[in-house]
Amino acid sequence: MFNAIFYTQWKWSRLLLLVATFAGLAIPLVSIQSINEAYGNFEVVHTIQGYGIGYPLLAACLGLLLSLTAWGSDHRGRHVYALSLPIPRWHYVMLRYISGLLLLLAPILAVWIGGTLATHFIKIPAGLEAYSGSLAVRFALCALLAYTAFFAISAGTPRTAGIVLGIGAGLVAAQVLLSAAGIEVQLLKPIVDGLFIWPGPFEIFTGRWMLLDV
Amino acid sequence: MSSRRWGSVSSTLLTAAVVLIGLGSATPAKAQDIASIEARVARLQERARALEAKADSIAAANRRRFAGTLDSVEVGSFKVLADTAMMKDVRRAATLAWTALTGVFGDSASMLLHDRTFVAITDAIVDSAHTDLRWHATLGTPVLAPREDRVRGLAMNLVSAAYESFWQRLDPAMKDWISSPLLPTLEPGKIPGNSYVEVVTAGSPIARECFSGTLSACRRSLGFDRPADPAAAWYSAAERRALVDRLSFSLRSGTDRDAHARCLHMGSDSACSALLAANAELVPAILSGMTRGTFLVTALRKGGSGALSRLLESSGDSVSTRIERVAGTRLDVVLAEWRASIIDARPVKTRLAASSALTSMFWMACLLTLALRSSRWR
Repeated sequence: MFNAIFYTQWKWSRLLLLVATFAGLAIPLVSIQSINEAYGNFEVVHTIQGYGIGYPLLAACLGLLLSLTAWGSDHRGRHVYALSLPIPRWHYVMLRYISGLLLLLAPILAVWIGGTLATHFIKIPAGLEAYSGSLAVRFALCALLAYTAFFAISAGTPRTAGIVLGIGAGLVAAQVLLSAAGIEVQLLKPIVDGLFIWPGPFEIFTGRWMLLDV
Repeated sequence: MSSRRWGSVSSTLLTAAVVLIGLGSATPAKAQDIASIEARVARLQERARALEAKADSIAAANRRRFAGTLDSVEVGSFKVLADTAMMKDVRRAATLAWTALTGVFGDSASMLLHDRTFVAITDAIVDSAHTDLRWHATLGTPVLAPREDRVRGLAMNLVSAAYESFWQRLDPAMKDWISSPLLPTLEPGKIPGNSYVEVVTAGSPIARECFSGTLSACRRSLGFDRPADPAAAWYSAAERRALVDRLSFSLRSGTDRDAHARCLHMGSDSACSALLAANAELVPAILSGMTRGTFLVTALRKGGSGALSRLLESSGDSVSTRIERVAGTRLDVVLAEWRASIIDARPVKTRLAASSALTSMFWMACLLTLALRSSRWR
């Protein structure tokens, strides 16, 4: 059964995975292209830092789209397929989840291979070190976390997803209206801080994403 | 049949339109009447005056309202006027700013404020179309108390005003050495991580020697005692070539084009060296003004009370001698302290922290549990 679920998920998401794998391979390679033109290593670090935003963005988009493709067919078929299977719900969810995890391996490996190739074929300036392994591990954790978060939302009913998204959109709208009215109340800041500052769930997305660093 | 009838109707309409346009164009256009234009201009001017008067009255009402709600806070030598509604934030900001300022300049920080009064203004006041900041400036120096992160934002603006005053009071020799204004900070004991990156990654091997602990190299990196030919003294052959490439635009105009080509295209170090020696003033110091500023801050902090007065009163001697006087100790002692602070300023490493990895795994487990508990019924 796992093979069947894994195969269908692969079929639904192979184009997305191809693009993500290509992007994962390209970001590290592109980020080091201009280091020969950099005046000093300080500029190298800043250039690499500029490309760093690409990794968490790719991880978040990958997690979101892969979780949507994992559950898309079930939502369209009103979950009849899942109900027809002689296994409990949690077992079915686990099969879908593990299939997604395995599919994530390709872009994660691409980031690692891209980073390793990028740092292998250049002369790393004195004073700097390559962090391709740690970058790939961090990317892997971010992609897995994004996938798990969106997977959990998608696994629920459309009502649950609507409530989660509605609360988010409502908070943003309320903040915009309050600011427009000149009322100085910070609704979003504590929430964003809670999500992105340790021990918040998405803290791993923040910070410096550096292929080369001091 | 119907299409023929429709064709005849449309041709009639077309003929009528052509006749009307013809009649219209044949009628002479009404000439512009100067008297009516003048009357219109007068009406518009009157309307503009009325609107200006209305805007003035709104601005005056705003000023009365603002002045009516003003209160003042005094922390250290900071005197800040602000709306009573935000006094609590203003007091906290002024305390933060004064602590940061005395952390660098000691009690002499008051010298930088010259008994100035600051007026805290909000984004709403700045954004208002009826605000005339010149009026606010008559009450004191306007400083922005931003809507977001108000306490730290206002504190930073107060500190920046004091740093600006410090920069203006510095003599040309010291300004020339630092080359760019000091970066204001709310954490005076902390050197920015960028300075660490700069020392570790600087183009010259001398900076790396400094990082390894050679204080004489730190002295040279900071640009004390600039040699006559800095490119030869500070940079390697490869770095000189990179420097010529970098300075191409400035070097190409007015110097030997042939030497420029030999340096860049044939890799001739003698050509690179000659070019840079002839343009020694263009050769940048090993460390930037931002990092040299951190050294001056270290010396001021080391010198404690009176360091600022000693700095502002000293002149004539070399920068290094003046800094020794400011710090009240030998330059090597300040260099060692500065180097230690630079090493402490190492930015958060790129290597993944175990706590981050474990936290993300914990959240993944929580989210997966939620997913597993989802209902099969829709």
